[in-house]
Amino acid sequence: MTTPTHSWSVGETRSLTVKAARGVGMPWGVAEEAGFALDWLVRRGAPGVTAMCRYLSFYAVGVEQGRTPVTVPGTEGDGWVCPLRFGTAISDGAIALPDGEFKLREPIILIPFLAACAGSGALRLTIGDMSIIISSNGFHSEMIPHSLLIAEAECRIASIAADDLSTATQQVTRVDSTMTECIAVLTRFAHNTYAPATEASRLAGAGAGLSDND
Amino acid sequence: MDNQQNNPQHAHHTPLRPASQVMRLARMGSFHQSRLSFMRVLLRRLKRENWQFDRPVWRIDSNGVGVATYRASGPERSYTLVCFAHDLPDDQRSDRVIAEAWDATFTLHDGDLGEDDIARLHANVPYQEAGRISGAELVLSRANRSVRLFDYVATCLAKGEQPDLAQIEPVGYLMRTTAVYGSGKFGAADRDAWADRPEFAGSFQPELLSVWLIRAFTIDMVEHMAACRAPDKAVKLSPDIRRRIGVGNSTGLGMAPFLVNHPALIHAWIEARETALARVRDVRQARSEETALFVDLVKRAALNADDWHVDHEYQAQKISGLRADLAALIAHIKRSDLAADHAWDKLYSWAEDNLSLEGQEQLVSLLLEPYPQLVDDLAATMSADEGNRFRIDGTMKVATLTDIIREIYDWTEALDFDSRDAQARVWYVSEEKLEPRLGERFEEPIADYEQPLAPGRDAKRALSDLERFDPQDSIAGFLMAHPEHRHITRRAQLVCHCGYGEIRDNTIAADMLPIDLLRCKLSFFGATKFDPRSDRWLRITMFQGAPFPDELAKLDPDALVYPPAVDNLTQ
Repeated sequence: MTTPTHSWSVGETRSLTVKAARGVGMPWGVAEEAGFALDWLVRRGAPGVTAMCRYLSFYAVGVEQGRTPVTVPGTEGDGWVCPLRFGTAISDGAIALPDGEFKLREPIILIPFLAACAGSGALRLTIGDMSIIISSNGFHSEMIPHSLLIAEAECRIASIAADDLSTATQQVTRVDSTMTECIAVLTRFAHNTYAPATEASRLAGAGAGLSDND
Repeated sequence: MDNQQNNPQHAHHTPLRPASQVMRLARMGSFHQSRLSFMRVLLRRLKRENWQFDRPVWRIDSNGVGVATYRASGPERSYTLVCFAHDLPDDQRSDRVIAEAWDATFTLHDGDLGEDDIARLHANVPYQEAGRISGAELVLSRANRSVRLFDYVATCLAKGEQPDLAQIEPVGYLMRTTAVYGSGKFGAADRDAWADRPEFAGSFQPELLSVWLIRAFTIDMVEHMAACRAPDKAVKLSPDIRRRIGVGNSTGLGMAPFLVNHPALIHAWIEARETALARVRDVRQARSEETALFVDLVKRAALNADDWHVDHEYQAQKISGLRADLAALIAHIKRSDLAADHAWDKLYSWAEDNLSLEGQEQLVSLLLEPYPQLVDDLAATMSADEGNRFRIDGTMKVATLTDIIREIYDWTEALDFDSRDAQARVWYVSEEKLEPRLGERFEEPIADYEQPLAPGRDAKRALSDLERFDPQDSIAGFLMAHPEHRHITRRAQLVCHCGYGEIRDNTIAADMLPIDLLRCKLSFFGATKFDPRSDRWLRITMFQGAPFPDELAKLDPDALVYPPAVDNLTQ
């Protein structure tokens, strides 16, 4: 039933991501941040769908193994630093931008949260050997976008002068068919938020009658 | 605008009704359509801008199967409703959103379209949620026939006769939509792709344009079927009877969470309506033509209430109260001097003391009618850009957030969320059709699947954890320790700037009625004849009385919303 050129709207992909993040066990408020991060990245030409698919897959396995996502670098122990928790803590102002190197899971997901605290200036996020310039409305990197997909890396954040800004953003408005597999993964995680149907709940829950002929 | 009406020296600047009064479920469940309802906003614009309408494609066979397109052409752009007509056995015409086949399926395409588009859409639109539309489409929808009325009207027309209005009025439509999806759903264009188009200023304009064109399609279909049966004898519907046919809609719980999930948008809707009411209450002296129109409309609203028949006990009692209210209002108007200073304000105050919530809210809608110059500009404010994230202000002090929550959610003080009745319900999504449902927390295994649709309870939970923090701490630290309160914290920070965005009632209480939520939203759409079929789904009629595309240029849509007055009721 689908056509070869099928695509998804950014909005429905964002909604799906919120459900998927909730489906792997995040609180609703954090899941909403996952949706925001995906939306921000996708619209600017970054591989946000792939990044979120990879990260939520990792998160699901980690939680299943009893490992814990943490907010603050250096406190991970057996767990890992969650870019959503770390990112929201930075953009909330709960923790300052770290001075030194820190290890972060799927660091591309941090970019939208750094953008939220860039103000009128800019920040440089260094992921391993790569450098990304981030302003309040976009980002710039010499690398092709998919090079930014890194599972875990040593990262560093630095404030830079505003005149270094070069964050011309690509305006992307659709999620194309190359994302089919990732959408399927997100859909599977989202499914965890749906209650199994029973005949009783089907009738009582929706308040439906048997026939709608009138 | 008129000097006398708006001279600041005479205006007494009525304050807006507070959210604590307006945003109660019982009152929201008593709202009526008004000048600000989105259907009326749409038709006013289409008429003002002289939009043109045609039907480029009509390939429907004698079994009622095929495709048709309806094009609306405006000053800058055109839109095309693509209609697929199907042959649906009666036994499959069931159960609203959870069905899998329909009498007709639709999409609204952005611009003109060619045969390749029609072929692409034909491979997807009939399957609805199981198909995909593209960024060139704005809306996906479907409808089923009203079996009793469609066949009756087709039979009458085939005999060369007009149908009896007495048969039409109790139903009010030939087809009933069971879902109208927009804003990026199932592949459609994101809202931000078209939100800056002037023709879509306000809310739900693409969806309602679709529904209005669907209405024309339902008439064409019934006339086509009659002509197929009796090519020599069949007649078309007469304009006056045709206009009494709207489009039905069955709606259930899918719509209810919308009001909770879109606080900024709901605030914009309610604030516009409350501002309109305050402006009219500020009118120092009404002109004679304004009072005459108001009196006429009160009588026509009474006729409308008389024609409003439902089986559901809750709504039946409310309608009975509304009829008594309108009779009392008519009697009170006769005793009142509407030419006196601030007559509208006095009338509204009288209503608060003497009418039920149904009657009070009916009066609010009626008071707006004579004042397009005070009301209609507010329609453009009834939208919100919700795409951007509302960033939590982490520097806010714990003490400040505590104060905000205590103020917005003061109504929860009397509630004990440990009691069964206060948390009896769970909003969840069923895996079957991915539709919102309402279940019983203590009778079904659904609590793990709960959606964040109980702000009152969540606020109270956050409050009890906030009390353990130093009031001078920032909430950034509180949220790091309690990420489970992130959702309600964002909501409280948002709602403290848009007070009408929060319902001031417990949305998971044992006695909560979802139809109150549905009615509020549907009144803003402009729906009439609310007909609850249970406490959680209902039928409505849309565009009943409104002009059709071929008569919009010569008729005033705002004059046709209430049924025409009959002689024995006029003074």
